[in-house]
Amino acid sequence: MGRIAGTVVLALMCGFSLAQSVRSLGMAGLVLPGPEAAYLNPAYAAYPAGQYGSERGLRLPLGLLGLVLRPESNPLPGLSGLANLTKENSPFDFLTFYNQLTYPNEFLINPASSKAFLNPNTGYPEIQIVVEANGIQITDYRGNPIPLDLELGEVGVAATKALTPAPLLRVPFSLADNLFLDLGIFAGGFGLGLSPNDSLRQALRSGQLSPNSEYAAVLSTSAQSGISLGFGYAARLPDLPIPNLAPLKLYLGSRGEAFYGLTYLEGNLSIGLQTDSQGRFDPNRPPVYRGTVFYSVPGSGNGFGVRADLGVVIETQSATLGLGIRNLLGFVRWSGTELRWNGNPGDPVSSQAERSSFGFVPAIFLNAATQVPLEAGTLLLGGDLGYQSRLYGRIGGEYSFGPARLRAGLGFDNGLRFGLGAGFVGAGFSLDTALTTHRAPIVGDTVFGLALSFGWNF
Amino acid sequence: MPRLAYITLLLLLGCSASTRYTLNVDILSFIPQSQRSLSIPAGSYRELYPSPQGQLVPLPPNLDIFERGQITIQGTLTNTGSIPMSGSYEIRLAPENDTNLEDNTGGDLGLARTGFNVAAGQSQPFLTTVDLSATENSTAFNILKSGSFRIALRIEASSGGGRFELTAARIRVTGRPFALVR
Repeated sequence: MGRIAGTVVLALMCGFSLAQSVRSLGMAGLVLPGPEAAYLNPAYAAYPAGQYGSERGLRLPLGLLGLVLRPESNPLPGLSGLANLTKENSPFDFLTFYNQLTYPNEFLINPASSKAFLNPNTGYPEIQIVVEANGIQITDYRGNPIPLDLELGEVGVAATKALTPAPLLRVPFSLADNLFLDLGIFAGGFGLGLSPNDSLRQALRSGQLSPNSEYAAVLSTSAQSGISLGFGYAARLPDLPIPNLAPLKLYLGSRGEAFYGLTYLEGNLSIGLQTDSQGRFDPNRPPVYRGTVFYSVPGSGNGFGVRADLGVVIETQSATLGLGIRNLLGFVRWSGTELRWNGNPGDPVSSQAERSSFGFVPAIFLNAATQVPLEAGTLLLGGDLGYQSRLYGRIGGEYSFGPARLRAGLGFDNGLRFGLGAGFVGAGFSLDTALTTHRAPIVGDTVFGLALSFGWNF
Repeated sequence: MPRLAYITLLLLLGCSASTRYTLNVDILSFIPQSQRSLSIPAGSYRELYPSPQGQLVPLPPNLDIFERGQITIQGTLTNTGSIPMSGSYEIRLAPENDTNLEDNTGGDLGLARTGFNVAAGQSQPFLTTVDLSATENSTAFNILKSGSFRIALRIEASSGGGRFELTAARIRVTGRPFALVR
């Protein structure tokens, strides 16, 4: 019984660690070789644990604390009447709230704030909308244009539908003969984006409207959830002898995953206004809606898919190199309902629809690490490079001295990011913290966040 | 005016309870270039500029979030005659459905009537700024708060001929969008 409970706790931890551990955040998101990376490269299922440290630990939802501790982001007073948030002297700031809400696992040290638009002459934040007959501009009080892009999560699951999001919960089972099985629950790929279309972006930059153009804001959404079952084979192959050098250790892994999808959402809706032949908006013309929203929910649709992943790991005496290719071949089909707006006024057309994909849409993941013994302590250096809808890569290191760990990393993953971290490994527990950065929505400055995790070692 | 409503929606995300939005409408840009200058004939003259219906200024309807407004008119008066030019100009304001801005019925009213005297052969710049709020020019402020409205200038002159030129006409309204949510 205790063993089952232990397995469940371990599985929970593995699940959380897959959702980017604090240790990894401290190295800018770098994923080191080890069984924790089996999701990205199945050969790691056969790789010994702990070679490059462990990612174990439960991430604490510090963001929720940040949300309620800061009056600017605390929505709780709104429970007893929205007016508590919206009245003149309320400290509530929608931008701070939005920023902290989208980073639930980090306490943001300097969240985005609409104070960035503060006009010292009036004492309150000001946003100007300048309307001219053939132009519109949105600026701060000094007249500097304000960008209008908002993005949250990963927008656009369309390209790699068979790639289910990283599981929230993954329960691995080792079977005999190098076989393994894993059960996972996934809910993710969640994305929400709001951005001006090209014409509107151009118009906001120049303050000029062109004739017969459509100026639109585009809302993109995506999300999916389901249950996955993976079955794989991972083994250490016979060593590869190299003349005059130590033999290379080789690991090979393959994994097939089948999933049953419960919910799916893929939406792309543009809401726009058209200019006439003189480049002016007609106030009496209704907005134009275009695009589709496809959704599948239990009771009115479902999805299923299979895919194959392959991976290889090479270990020399001093370093490890791994290459994983997910979705080497994948098939997926979702059935559900599609709402379509085609630019005409009125309600959208609703119809039964399907989304499916088949073929080679691979996600590639390459990582490497080495350990350098120093006079005092050990230095671990690693790097990874991947492609999944876009290219990303990170380099980082960890210095261990006794129970203390110091980490740093630099990477590009939808913009430049860096990480700084520290950890403490005690008897039976570990504590990790990391400092991270991201670009603030709308105001664009750098926001620092603090993440914390606690792990039990048993 | 759906575009303003929708841009407001976009921007609500970058907003705190004390954030003010200022809508700055360049009215002059809605008036064709050829009509920005008005020729004043000799004798006694009275004209509603740019037309008796005024210029329609689109605003979101019935938003009770406006706290104050400001109207700015700027231009030049030129006396091309040989006698002094004297007269006055006045800003006329009316709700959207009142298409006669001169009859003082249906809601139209006058603001900031300003007199002028320009010597023969001379030019004189003019600048008028009117503040509108619940305490200053409140009737005019209520017209702005009710949504789209009309604006015109009434020019009265007695002269040997001249020219009236408009170089700027702006309306600024400032509001607190969070006041929408109560």
